[in-house]
Amino acid sequence: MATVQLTHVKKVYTGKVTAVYDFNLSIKDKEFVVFVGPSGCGKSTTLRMVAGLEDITDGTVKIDGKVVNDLQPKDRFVSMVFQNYALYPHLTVFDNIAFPLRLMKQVVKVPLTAKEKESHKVKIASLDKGIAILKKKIEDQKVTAKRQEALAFLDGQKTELDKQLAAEKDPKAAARLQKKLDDLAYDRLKALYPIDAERRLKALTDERTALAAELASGEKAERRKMSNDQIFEKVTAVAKTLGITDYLTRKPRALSGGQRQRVAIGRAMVKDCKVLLMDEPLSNLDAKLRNQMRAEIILLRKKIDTTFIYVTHDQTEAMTLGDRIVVMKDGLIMQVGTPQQVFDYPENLFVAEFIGAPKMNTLKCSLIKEGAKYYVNPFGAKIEVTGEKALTLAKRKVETQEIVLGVRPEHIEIVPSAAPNAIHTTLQVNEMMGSEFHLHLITDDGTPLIVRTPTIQLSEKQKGELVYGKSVYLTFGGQAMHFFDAKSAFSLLVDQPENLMKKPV
Amino acid sequence: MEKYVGLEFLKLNRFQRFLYKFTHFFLGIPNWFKNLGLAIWHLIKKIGLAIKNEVLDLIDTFRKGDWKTRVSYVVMGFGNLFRGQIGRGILFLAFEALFLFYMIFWGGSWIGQMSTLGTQGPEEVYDTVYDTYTTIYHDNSFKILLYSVLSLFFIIAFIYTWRLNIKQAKIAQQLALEGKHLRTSKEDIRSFADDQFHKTMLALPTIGILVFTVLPIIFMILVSFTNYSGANNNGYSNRLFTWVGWTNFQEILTWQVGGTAYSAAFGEILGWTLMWAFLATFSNYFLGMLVAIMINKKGIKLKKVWRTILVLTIAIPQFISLLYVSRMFADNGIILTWLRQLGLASGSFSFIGTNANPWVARFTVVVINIWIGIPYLMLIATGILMNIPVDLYESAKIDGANSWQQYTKITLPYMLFITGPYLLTSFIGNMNNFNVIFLLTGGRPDNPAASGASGTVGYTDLLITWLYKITMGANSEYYMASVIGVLVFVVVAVISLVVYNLMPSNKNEEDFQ
Amino acid sequence: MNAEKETLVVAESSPTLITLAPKKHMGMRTKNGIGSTVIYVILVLMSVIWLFPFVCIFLQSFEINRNSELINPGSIFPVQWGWDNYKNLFDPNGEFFKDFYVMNLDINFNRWLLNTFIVSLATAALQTVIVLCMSYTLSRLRFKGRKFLMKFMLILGMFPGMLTMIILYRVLADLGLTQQNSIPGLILVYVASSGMGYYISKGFFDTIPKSLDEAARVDGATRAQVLFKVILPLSKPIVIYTILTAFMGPWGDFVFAAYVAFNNKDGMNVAVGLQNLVSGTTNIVDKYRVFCAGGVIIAIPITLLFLLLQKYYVEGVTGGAVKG
Repeated sequence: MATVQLTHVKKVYTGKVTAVYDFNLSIKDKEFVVFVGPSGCGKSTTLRMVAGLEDITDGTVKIDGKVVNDLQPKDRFVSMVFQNYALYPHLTVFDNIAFPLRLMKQVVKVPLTAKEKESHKVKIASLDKGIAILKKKIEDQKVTAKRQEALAFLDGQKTELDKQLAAEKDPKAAARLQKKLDDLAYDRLKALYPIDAERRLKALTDERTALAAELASGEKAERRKMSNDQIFEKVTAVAKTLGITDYLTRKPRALSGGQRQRVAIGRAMVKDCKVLLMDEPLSNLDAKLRNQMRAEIILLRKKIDTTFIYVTHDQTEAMTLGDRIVVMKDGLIMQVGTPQQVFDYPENLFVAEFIGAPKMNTLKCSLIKEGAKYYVNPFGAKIEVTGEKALTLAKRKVETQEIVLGVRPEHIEIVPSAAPNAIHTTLQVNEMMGSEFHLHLITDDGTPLIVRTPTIQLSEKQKGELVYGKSVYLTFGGQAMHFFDAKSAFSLLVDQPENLMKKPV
Repeated sequence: MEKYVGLEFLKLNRFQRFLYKFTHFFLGIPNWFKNLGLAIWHLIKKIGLAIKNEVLDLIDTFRKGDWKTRVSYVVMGFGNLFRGQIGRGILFLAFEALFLFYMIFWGGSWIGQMSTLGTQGPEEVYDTVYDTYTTIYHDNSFKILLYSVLSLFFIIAFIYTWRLNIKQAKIAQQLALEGKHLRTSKEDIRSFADDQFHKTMLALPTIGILVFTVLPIIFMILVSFTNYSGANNNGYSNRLFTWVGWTNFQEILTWQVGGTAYSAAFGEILGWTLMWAFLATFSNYFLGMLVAIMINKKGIKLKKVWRTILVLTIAIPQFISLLYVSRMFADNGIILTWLRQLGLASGSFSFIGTNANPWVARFTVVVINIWIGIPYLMLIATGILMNIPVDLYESAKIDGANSWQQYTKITLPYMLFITGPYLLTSFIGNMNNFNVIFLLTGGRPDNPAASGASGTVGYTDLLITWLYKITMGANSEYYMASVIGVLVFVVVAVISLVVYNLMPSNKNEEDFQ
Repeated sequence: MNAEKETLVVAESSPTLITLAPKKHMGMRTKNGIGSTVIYVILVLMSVIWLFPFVCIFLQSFEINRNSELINPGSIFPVQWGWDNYKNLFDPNGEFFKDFYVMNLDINFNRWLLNTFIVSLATAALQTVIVLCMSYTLSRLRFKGRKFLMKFMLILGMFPGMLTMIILYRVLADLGLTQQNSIPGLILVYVASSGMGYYISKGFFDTIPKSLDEAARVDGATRAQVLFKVILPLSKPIVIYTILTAFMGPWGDFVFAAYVAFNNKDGMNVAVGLQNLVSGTTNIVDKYRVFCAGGVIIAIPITLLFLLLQKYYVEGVTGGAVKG
């Protein structure tokens, strides 16, 4: 149960391969966020950086407001479900789930004894004395004339160098000047603070506060291992939730894939973690099981009250599971939004084509502005843009230009040949799915299109006619279109971000 | 020379392809040398750059350091001590104290003598009290060399630790400045079970290797530049020896007709060593593979039995089996007795005796080595054979391949691919295969032309058995032994380098994960 | 310092032999039959040749007739069977056993056995620890200098091991760890550099999926705990293999042990002692028989251990427990 913040997170492997460029995301408490993208896009790497299994080259990761860059995984209070389950083969299911509990030391409040109270009071008194002395020493040091002189001198130098740097044209000399400025900043920092004394002061103050708190509450916190009974309770509770109580005595090799998956989830659930991380947990299951487990994870989410980060390459999983989706490609975030947002308003061509199955149809044509109206002209037709999107285009003062037009297969209609703006296509393949047909068509100039049409509306005769070579006429409505800049592949409906598609220098 | 690429290459028939690859291989050799030179040059540049960066960093740290960091340049551990990292500070300080103490009272004197390795040898002095001659041992060159090297090691370790201490002081100062947390000693100790675990685990093994392998090797390399020998040699002996520079190498490498014993012997022995390694490796390899395939063939029963019988040869210690076999093939041994009884061998025929024909002896040794070597190869080959996907064979059968074609087109290439690197290690291992040669023949039959001052050299001697003989021989010319050892290393290194660079894939995959 | 090659032992016959659909024509079957017969013949011949020396050794160890060479030259079967050679081995001066031909050989087989046994026990324990430390670290931990360390050890391995014998001997001699006190000296030398022999163990550790480590670390384990709680329990075959290999090493070393013992009978190990026995020229026939007896005594346990070792190697390679 915690927030997670990734700020300018970057991962570069030795050998100069950059896996993640500049990842920025703020995850709310108890949110279910999905990282989705093709293989190699950096989603697993980012997840592992949050877990602590990979070093963070640059940027910060904060869990619950605390920077965790330098913390070992065990100190981050995260749980993880791995793609290949990673169950301990030599332990029973029970011991597998109990494993994290046995390693944990719980914080237990223990009342202070009288003797301890006394020694606390004494210690606090002596600490107070020490703190007072240090404070005075620091104050004295800060005010010394020498220090002020030094600061003034350094400030003077800084203004000089700043002036020089502004006037300098030669990049090498500028770099050298910059370095001098950096050194100067460091010197200034040094001159400003009596660093060791301040550190000691902070340490003493912290200790005093802690002791005082303990004294006030009458208790102190001790870290103790969990008792066997507690462990037993927790493990059996988790097993019951997941329906694996019957397997508690078995070893992982005696379980099926789906059962192992549940044990892995159980192991992640059993300790109170701040973030639950899942790295493509369903990829190793067969299709039917995958659908089943997907539903179970959604149910599970209601039972486990924590923040989730889920990584997958399957956009269906992303769409059904996530509160928010992060679409990634080649180490960059392509778009962040709710599933519906990402589906209805893809911000760039990649997201548009990645989300939604079958893939969105894309074709080149022009966006024409005629007065206050907008038209597109695919394959000789002229279709007016209507609805919200037209208004947005107008607001953004979009001009006539070449675009890549995107239309989803389900938004294309089959129409009679005489209908307005009917586009002639030839049917190549008809995938008969039962409740709908996926028609693979090809236009006169060779552009492939896919259309989804529900079969319930077709007569038997119509269904029979949809065979290879048949001419089919299509059109699509003015509200169902997506417009992307022909050069940058960005949606014309949003502001183009500066550095997304370009690899940062 | 035309370069064919892609489809053009595939147009050629098999012979043309082979010719093309063959000629291009040789044409590519000068290029290869150029690449090697470039690689070495890059390495040197990298090292130079690294050193320059270190020096720059040292200067920079000093400039930016506050007084605590600056004192660390002289009193190690100061920076850590006064910023609350008492454990580290004390360790550094203790190390410095130990080092200074050692150098002043002990090490310094040894290093001073390193250039001369001592000047006074043992001296017989007449003792009037006991009316006898006693030897007074003055300088002991061995000890001088040994302890100087040890001291040099220590100095290097000290420089490294001093540099580490400076780095730590700098980091401590930086962290303190940024208000960040510095690890306390308790946290430090706990980190040895976690992020510094590798140090904990590697400490003992690496120290062991440093002291018991690296140090001796460096020492022996140095010895090869001296005249350390057991015998008395112009006043030099095993107590007093001195540097002779490259003389030893010159002596062994210059080929002079009727020259000193060593140069004559070296060429001959090196040649045989390489030939032996080649014959031993490849005979075992192909025959072992063949045997493995035979046993693995479908329809052969009792596979485990056959394998176990062959494996017994490995199980029984070589000094038992080989020693006995050498007796069997001796002049009065069983094998010859039988052959003579059957009339197949004359009375004077000898396999490995002192009067044997050198080539007969060499042939015998190779054959007996097959007896030892096939089981090893058979095991390895069996394991690999089992892992060749059966679908390869099935699809080949459907395509109409017979057994021989399957062997040459599937089995052989697959095996070569996987065991290629092993061939190299096997070759090197055979080059240094002391046991087989020493136990079987002891190097005999003797080669009078090659025998020099140190022991008798034989026609079946390898470089390594020769090394042994020199060491254990009457005169114990250790310096020569070291020279030979160094030369063996050079040969092995060159061969390894060449082979590694010629092999396309596998080379990195095998060693490093 | 092991003069023997590192034993590379590989899996034995897999239990599942995949065969094609069995519709064979008559012709194919006969052809297969002929092929198989030829192979059987070859295998039998090979078995005979391979086992021949060992059979000889075994038989010769029971020969007690002093003139067997004259009576029956060229025969490997003993003219007269008896335990004399064995008795001479254990009791060279005829003090314990009665009624046998005493050769009064200058040997101390009992002491040699004891020496070698102690050395190999200690080596087995210590070397295992060192090798496992090294191979585990190189396999699963990533740190600066890892590649350099591996390359460095590779290069070190290119130097002939014999080169370092001299200096190691001198150092041991100075420390008083030679001759009668050869045991600690030998142990020290065998164990100290054993880290360089990490290849096989590392190969094994590499087959354990890294995700197990990661899962444990996320579950709250320090790296040390990962080793002891997760990896080691899964590595029983490897550990046993390493122990056995380490145990078997000292039994065959006749080079360095000879140097260390320096002709002192009490400091020798069995290899040196037995080899020394037959290195002279006097009484060679008798001595070889005793040698054979010694060989039989040593070979039997070592062979059994070796076969055991194979079993564990196979287990390690095919350990299915690790999947999943």
